[in-house]
Amino acid sequence: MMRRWLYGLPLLAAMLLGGVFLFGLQPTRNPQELRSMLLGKPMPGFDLPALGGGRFVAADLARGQPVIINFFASWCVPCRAEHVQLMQLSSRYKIPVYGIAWKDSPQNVAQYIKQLGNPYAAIGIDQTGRVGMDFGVAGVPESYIISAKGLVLYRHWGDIRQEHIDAQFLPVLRGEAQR
Amino acid sequence: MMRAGLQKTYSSSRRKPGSTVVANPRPFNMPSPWIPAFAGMTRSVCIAFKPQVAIKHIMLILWLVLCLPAYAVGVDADTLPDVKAEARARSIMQDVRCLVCQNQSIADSDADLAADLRQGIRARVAAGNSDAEVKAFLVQRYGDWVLLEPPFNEATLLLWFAPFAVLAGGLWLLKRRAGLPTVASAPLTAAEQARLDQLP
Repeated sequence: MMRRWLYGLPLLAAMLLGGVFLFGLQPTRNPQELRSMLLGKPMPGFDLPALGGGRFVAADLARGQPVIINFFASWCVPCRAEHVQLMQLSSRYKIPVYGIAWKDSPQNVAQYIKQLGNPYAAIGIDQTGRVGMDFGVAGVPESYIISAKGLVLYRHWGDIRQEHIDAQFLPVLRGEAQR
Repeated sequence: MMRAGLQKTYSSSRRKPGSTVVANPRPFNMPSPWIPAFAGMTRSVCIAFKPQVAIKHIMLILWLVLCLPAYAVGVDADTLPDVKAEARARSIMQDVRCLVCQNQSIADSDADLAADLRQGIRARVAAGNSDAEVKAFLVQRYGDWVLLEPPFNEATLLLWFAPFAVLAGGLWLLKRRAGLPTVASAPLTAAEQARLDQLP
């Protein structure tokens, strides 16, 4: 028969479809994840009023080691949830964590910090959200790992849980430290 | 007779005193329409209601409901003083996805972030950026996803060309089928012909 191969076609199609489904079902795959446009690119500059007076500018970030920039707000509930993890990152893992309060007032941020403790090396107040726009922030909390050279290594969307520290933050931070 | 009895009540409820009984224009087996808006009203009210008019009313209500999304518009206190620039900014907003509500444009969204993006677009337009430059500004920050219409690039090749590929495949199959030799059907046997002739 000339067209015997045609009989194999349904099987081939089914296998192809199965492959697509298998790919879609990968536990690590998150179809809602939006890759940050900044990955591998220099962090956008910023110049914000700092909590407690003065300015907080991009050049103030610690040099020679990776840092975390965390966008948060006092009105944001998941930010409260991830606060424990931020405290851990700064005190236990000794990673400099910087906060940018997104669309929030200095009074409310001060109150929030007083209530929950301060994991941040510095806090900038981005009342209009303009700096957030430069980072591509769509909502809080969002966290960025910035390399020693000022490149964006990783963007974390949503609250940081312990498993995220183990699976995402530490590998990225260690990989950067070895370089 | 169930049906006849039912018809009697229909016509008797419509009858005015002294008038002659007119035959119910509805076919006897057609139930009186159940109209949600009149649910719970007494049966006689429902029957007195003309279905043609009811349908008109329902259509009117449906059309009005269709208009509801038109009211979903993000309202800003600050708009550009230049009417032309404002119109251009608004046309850009129509093409930009709201990242909070995701399947709305920022022009339709009342989300906080959408308002920020609208102001960002206005600032760019006021600064004299072209439409493409404004969109590039947003894509640079939020990615292609921020545009409601996916741009044409290597990642979206399949998206844009798959329909044409499927169409071409279908045409190819059709062409193949048309080229296949058709088998002439065998002539009828005498018995079949006789049966065919017998058929009315």
